[in-house]
Amino acid sequence: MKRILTVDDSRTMRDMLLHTLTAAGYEVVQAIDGEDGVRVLDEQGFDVIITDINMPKMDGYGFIEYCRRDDGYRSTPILVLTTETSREKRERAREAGATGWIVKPFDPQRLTEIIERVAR
Amino acid sequence: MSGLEEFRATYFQECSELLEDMETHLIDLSEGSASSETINAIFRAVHSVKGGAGAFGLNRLVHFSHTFENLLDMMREGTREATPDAVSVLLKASDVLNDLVAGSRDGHEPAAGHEDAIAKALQALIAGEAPVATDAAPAVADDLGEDFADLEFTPAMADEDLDSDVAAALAEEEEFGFTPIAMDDDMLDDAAAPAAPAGFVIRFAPRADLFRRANEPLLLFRELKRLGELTVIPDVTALPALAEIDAEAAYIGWTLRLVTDAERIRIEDVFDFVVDDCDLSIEPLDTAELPEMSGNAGLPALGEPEEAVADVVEPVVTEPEPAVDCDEDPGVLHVEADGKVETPATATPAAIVPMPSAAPRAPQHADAQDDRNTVVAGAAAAAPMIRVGLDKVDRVVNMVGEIVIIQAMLAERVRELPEGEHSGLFQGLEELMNQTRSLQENVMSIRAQPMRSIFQRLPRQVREVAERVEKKVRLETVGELTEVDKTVVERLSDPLTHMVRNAIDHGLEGPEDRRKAGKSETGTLRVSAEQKGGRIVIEVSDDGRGIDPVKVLDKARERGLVGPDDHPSDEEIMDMIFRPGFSTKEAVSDLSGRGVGMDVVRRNIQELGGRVSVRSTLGRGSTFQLILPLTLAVTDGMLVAVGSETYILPIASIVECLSPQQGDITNLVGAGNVLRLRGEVINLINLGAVFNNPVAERDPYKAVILVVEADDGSKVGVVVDEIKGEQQVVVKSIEKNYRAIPGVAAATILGNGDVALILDVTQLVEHAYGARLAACA
Repeated sequence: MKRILTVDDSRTMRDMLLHTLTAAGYEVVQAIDGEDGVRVLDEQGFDVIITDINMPKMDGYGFIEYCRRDDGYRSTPILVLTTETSREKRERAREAGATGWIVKPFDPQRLTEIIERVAR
Repeated sequence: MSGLEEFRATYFQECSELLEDMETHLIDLSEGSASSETINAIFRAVHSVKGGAGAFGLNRLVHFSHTFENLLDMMREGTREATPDAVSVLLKASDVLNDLVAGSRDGHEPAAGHEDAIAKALQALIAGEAPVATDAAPAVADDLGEDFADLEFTPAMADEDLDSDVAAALAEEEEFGFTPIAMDDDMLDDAAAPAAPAGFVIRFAPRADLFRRANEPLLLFRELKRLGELTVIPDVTALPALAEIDAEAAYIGWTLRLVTDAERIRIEDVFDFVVDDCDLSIEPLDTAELPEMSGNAGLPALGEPEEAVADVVEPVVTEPEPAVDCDEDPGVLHVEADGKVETPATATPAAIVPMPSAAPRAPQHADAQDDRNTVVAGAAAAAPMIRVGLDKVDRVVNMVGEIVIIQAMLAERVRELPEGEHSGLFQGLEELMNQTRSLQENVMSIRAQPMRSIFQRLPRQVREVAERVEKKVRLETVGELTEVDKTVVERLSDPLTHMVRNAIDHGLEGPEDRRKAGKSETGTLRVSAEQKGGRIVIEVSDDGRGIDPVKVLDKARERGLVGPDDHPSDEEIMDMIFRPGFSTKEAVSDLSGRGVGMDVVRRNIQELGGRVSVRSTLGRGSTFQLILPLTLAVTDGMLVAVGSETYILPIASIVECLSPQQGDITNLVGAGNVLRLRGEVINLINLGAVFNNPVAERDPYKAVILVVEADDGSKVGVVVDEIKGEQQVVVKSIEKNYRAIPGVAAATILGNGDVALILDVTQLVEHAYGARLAACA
């Protein structure tokens, strides 16, 4: 079973992701912000990472950069889940190393399609 | 969004937490004690509200929070400054956001245009203009008044109200967020068969960045293949000599031939993430050169796309793996300890090697491990919390209630035994009673919340009202850590808000008047909460002009609340301000007037099983006191006997008990028996008659009268056989288990196992009068 890490400070969003992804047959591990995500990264491997951008402690950009510096996650797909619609922010996430993005609110079917697009 | 509706409750719960946090941060901001994190935190709160709102299709909330968020974003980026005027707009926007969230949650959306004025003010700030006046805005609207105003239910605001920025952003969100792409074959079959094969020729050459961002051509091909028949032809002409190969560079391109009825946008969508990291061209099949002709890699074009993907694409060596150690034997797969397979850059394009596997990772490097331990230790410093559903807690509360009843039952039985022979049993029972009490208190404390959540809203309410009525006010709050039942806290917010507004609007004088009265220009408003003997006492006091009983009486006479010949006591006069429709201020103020003042407060408090009273000294100020039960699950009741039955009257509603003297009771035609009490005429209700109890005492002179106060402040005398005592009773809902009975609020189980009804005084009065009127007719 593929394992996905979701990093989001919003409980609603975390729960919705958990629900959608579990229903789609993924194993889901949740982190509540970038710092927590970093902690979880070290405990277990992931096939896909989904992260929010705006979070306390360590934001999504910082978290992605961290992942990309870590040899174990250099080539792990990272999707940015955010309501940000401005090109500039998406570009910043890409600069940090994001593989793709999902704009909230997400459609469950669309979400799983996008994960399929990036999950090895 | 089907299947996600169940997260609505989570969302609104989260919203209220976010909005509460936001409030605290906004206050910091307005008081100048903001840190660099403050704006960020406010931004994130609005952002999260918007995120969830979108998921549930709460478009109105999305629109408003989007505008709000935009301004906050600019503030945190430093392109807009949080000037005092701007902060004032933020505060009002936060109010509107609260209204919209509450409206969505409760299904009573605020009237259309509710947010317009504030949204305009936000947009003005975004545009870099000075804040526009927002006086017409509903930010200081009277919460309590909302209950009474004819609510308009209007659909979400019209699209033309949207500024183009928001509209564009929403359109974009729809593009990325809402449109599901059907992948089923039916769709393809349904399309009219074209003369020539429909499809596209796609030329795709990744750049190194594509791999750096962990995108993978193979997966894109797999997705394309779902759209139709795919042929993949690699182009390896750019591949340099072995010695010049850079493991992190990209050398290979592909020409893909896709026979499909899918629209171009579907193809573009597949390349959505990589379009800026590759050279990409998508041309219709008929106009493009045939892919076979452009395939010049010296490799055969495979007709079967499945094989093409598997055999031709996989060996491509552009995977941005860690630089390969050049000392390694070329052509040998290097398998790391964690099971990851690396493809040496020296592998030939034709070699078939497995894709890097996604095997679980082995434990991490020692330094990372250390970091983790540090963070965990830091997290452990705070008291660990656990989030538990309210229903679980309530179930425990209920069970504890049962134990309280059983314990009382046990105690009653044991007391029948001779104590000398059973001293051990008595001792054990005593112990059980103590433990039960402590268990009950502890369980109730789980439901308890500090008053802080209400208190922290006060500073800005005070500030806003004070600004509006041009008075100077200093707020003192005491006891914000006092814990009260969650339900009580929630339902206390409105009455308290109203009392605070009242105190500033009516109680405190303006600076001029205060100076003349020899007081400091700044008035003091003090709000306190404390626990006193199993009850919560909340006081709102001001050092203002006080309440003039003469004026109150005049007004009451004018309103017909008091007859011209009645001479009520000062205490009774003060009590009149809680009567419906009473207002001492001539001009109905837009803040606390409207004639829905203290009577609403009283009703709200009584619904919580509490009482409200006022004391005032002319020229010195007034104090409003609320007394509330710690919990709603247990209430103080007066046990009264009516014939063979026992009923319970809530202690909170009882004004006094008396045995009538000869001549106190008069029979009035059409009103039945009335009691004359210190010049006041009080209607009597005989419980025995109401409940049709044949053995109950009907002669009021042989009975006991409890004078109780109904919600509207009117008093009635309840005639009962005798008073059996006062005790805490566990409240059991009848409505939930049977159906609502007029005059009965709930039931409880007594120590002897009997069920006793807890009476609802207000309904009882209505019911009794109704029956009497019916009997007269």
